[in-house]
Amino acid sequence: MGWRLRIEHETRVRYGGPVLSSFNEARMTPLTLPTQATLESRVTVGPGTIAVWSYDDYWGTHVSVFELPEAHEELVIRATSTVQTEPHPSLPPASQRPGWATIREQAEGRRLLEMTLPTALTTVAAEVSGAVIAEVAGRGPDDTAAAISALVRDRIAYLPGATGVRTNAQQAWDKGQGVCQDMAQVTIGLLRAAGLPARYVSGYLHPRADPKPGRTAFGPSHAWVEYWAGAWTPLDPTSGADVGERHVVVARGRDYGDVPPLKGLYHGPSHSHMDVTVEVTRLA
Amino acid sequence: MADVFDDYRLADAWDEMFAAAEWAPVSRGVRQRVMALERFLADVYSSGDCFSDGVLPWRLAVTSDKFRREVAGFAPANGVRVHVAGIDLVRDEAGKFRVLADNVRVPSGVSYLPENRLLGALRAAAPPGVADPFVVVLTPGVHNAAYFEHTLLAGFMGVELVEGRDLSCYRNRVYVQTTGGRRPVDVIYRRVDDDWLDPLHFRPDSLLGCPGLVNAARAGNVTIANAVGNGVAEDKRIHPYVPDLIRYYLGEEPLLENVESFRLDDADTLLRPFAVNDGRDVWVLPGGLT
Repeated sequence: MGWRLRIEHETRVRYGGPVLSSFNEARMTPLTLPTQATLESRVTVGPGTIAVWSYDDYWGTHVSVFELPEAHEELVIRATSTVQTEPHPSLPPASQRPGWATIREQAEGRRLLEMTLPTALTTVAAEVSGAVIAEVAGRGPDDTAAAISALVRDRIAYLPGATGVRTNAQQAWDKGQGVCQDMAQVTIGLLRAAGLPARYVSGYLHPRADPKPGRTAFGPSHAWVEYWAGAWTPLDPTSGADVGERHVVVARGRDYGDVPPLKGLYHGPSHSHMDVTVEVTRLA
Repeated sequence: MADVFDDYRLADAWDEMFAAAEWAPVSRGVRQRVMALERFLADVYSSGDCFSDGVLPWRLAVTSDKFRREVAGFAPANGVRVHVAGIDLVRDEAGKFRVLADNVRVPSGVSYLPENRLLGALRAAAPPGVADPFVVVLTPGVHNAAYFEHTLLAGFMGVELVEGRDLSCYRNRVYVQTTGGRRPVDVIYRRVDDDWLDPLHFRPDSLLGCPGLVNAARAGNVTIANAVGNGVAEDKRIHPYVPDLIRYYLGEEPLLENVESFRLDDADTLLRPFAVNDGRDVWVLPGGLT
């Protein structure tokens, strides 16, 4: 009884003059997972018809690679996909979830270790994490994660434009403002400091909890987190909402740096302007 | 020029170091080591069996800044990642050769090599179906301390010496602008470190490489020699495990021993800094391992 979502993600870059060559990677194709199936997905690039080549990277993300060898002043990337999303199973009772000791042991394993190590974008100062951990102490793993998420939502006001893609967790914490990327990275830093493996999720969110089929909504690219407590468990510190049919997973990594929707470089004027629109339509 | 170089290489330095009887076992030991390191690199960038089997900790790989996730999941054309290695040997107090370091990224001194052997290895590494591979030597340029060696090497091998700005990538193929026009490149013997090689994947401010090289290698259209990511096998924390890697991959006892080195993650290894009190202050100095 899931949702069928249509996502149209358009990125338009205008340069302050002619760009001679440009090399890019886009990470905009939703994954197929137990909770979602990507039925159709396409990344097209203009102006004109630009060849797009793809590969799956180390983190399992579908990467679209393209280059523009001719002079151009504008770049347009359209990522279109249709995804069937399913409700996530609710958390099993705490008695069926592993305790701290088990999680600590599992965290040393091949799949989890990289999600326990600090990264430059997710690390907060030891004083900050120490104070947070003291505040949430005495709880089980799931309750700790929920408490950390609530605390981050409390601390950081959602304010687009307050931070940039290179803002790290400590800067966002100090500023007390940020967007989903910042809230996700702060949460990850605190979860890892508390002993829970945690990873960054890049994707889309339908802005409404119960949208009418057929009506299009504008929902920006979104980011949230997953922590490990015997299974990867999603948590959306920005919206505070349960992660479910509204969420579409595109990529997962240690932090934003592993999963940027668009990364590239070009020869040309340093001034450019990027417009991103994401239209999400519930089809059924 | 070449004769002078050859004479120096063979007559003086080499013969002084090695009695002929010593060369054969050293040669076998180095060969064994490089074969194990090849297997290790192939493993690190694919299934990572050596970590699952507990030969060495996964933590060492993922915390190494030379571990390149960008090249995981694809293998170079003929499976070779270490096209040329420089193994540093020292004599211990008993006169026995021991391995100080394995240089499997960009070993300096390769212009001492018989150039046909290196060129043969590079040509053999070309993508499948290329009958007469076009090989270039990629140098960081005239400001690099080893530029002279790069010119010698390219000259000995009879191949083009190029800089990053001479290369361009288009549709996952690499081209070089030469005096004779633009032509596709099959094998790049690069003297540029991973960090600087491809600004799309590594340092974005690098002007020494060329954007698109890594994806061209991933697509199997060009071979980068030595392979990207080899540095993880040079990591000083992994060096003490090389004898175990030889046993694990080859089922043989190591012919060459490491210089004595200690694993800091071993509970029996204690790091002992020394504190010297000169009456005014206490100076803490790096000390030994016990």
